[in-house]
Amino acid sequence: MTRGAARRRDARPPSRRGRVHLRRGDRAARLARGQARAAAAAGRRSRRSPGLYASPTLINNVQTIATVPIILDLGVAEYAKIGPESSPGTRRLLAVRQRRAARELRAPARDDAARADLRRRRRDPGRPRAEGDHPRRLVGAGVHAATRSTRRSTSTRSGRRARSSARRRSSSSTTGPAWSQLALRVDEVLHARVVRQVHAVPRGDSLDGAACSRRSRTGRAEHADLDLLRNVCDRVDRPVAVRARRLRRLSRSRATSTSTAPSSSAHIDEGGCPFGGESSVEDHGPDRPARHLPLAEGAGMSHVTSARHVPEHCQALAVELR
Amino acid sequence: MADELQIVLAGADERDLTKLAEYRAIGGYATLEKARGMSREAVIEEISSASLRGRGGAGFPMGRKLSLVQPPEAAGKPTYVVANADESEPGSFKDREIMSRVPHRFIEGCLIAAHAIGSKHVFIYIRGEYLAEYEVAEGGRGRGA
Repeated sequence: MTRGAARRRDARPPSRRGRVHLRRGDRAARLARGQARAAAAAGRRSRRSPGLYASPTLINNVQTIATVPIILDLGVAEYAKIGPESSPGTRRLLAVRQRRAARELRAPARDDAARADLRRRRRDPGRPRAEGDHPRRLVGAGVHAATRSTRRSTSTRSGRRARSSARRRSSSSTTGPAWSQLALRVDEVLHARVVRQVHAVPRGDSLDGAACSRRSRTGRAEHADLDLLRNVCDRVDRPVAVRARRLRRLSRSRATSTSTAPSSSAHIDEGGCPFGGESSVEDHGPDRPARHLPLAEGAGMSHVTSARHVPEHCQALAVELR
Repeated sequence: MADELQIVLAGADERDLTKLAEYRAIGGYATLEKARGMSREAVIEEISSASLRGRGGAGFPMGRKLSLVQPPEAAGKPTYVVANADESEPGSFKDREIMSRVPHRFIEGCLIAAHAIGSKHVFIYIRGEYLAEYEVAEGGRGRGA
């Protein structure tokens, strides 16, 4: 399988009205443009073309497409009542923040049994645990120790070396029998999925999710905007990890950042952050370092288009804001 | 804080909407039938009137995009729908949740969009790491498509 190409999977016999093909991309494929994705979907390397198989092609994002049935179901008038007038409906937002000690979530890249185990556990994240089977206690101590010992000295070259070394140690410690411990940690994080669904978006609140997002994009987020997000964060009693990043650990390659908003890229290149250093979310909890918390708009990820703005290990939660 | 309003993920807290029967129980795929009872132009008009903008970042109006796709009769070629489920932005998992929790709503949307442009084929391009979502979508495709 070459990088950037898609994995073909034979489509099933066509149904009465059409056929849905599912193509699983190469991990972290370097695809940034819609046309390139169309090419990859067709199972060939990306190159510019007017559309898939040089035919008229509609390319849309998952969230956009998933909204279509809602519109037809509710009707235009009802749908228009949700969200701002300029862009009705909901948008999913991500609040991303630095997270401590997530290295134990690395999974063996070539361990098929482990990956199968992960898949099984992901399907059933709510399974009951045995008594004393608490992931926090079962995570490999060496991983924690490595993380703790290097966190204090990140600014020096020796500190970076030590951290790199610790990362290698922690990575190697995740293979073999340690996998069962890691899987439990993964379970813990996946449990957060349930938690995440509990948090509320303040419908009827004076805060408008879209306006909040807009202000954050332009670096004019106010404390009230951030408090909205903090309220959401506070409802999550356990760190919610970025599942996408976790699974990326299964991959041997790194993802390439995709820029969808040139102005945002420029903003990031200048070292900017949507909150301009005035985030009220900085002082989030006693056990967390006081850090600046970049906000990423899920739809477009305007401010997380650069890898350096997404810490290697971070926590996030998704909310559906109107 | 007031109750959460879920639109795209509506019903996913109460039911396992990865199952076709569950999705049908909340009226799933009825909208598809409704759309198929409408003309393509009417579907496009409905989506245009709703001012649905792309959620991928550029915010391009979907209705306009649909209207720009030449129908197969005019183009003399088949038309295609490509759903970008790559979600390659670092740290993003907004689409993943949709695919893992309401895959049939997503597939239904794909089929409605396909109807709107007269397409017989929908390609879902899903990133390699999304193993579980791939399997869920694969299951949904087998039953729903």
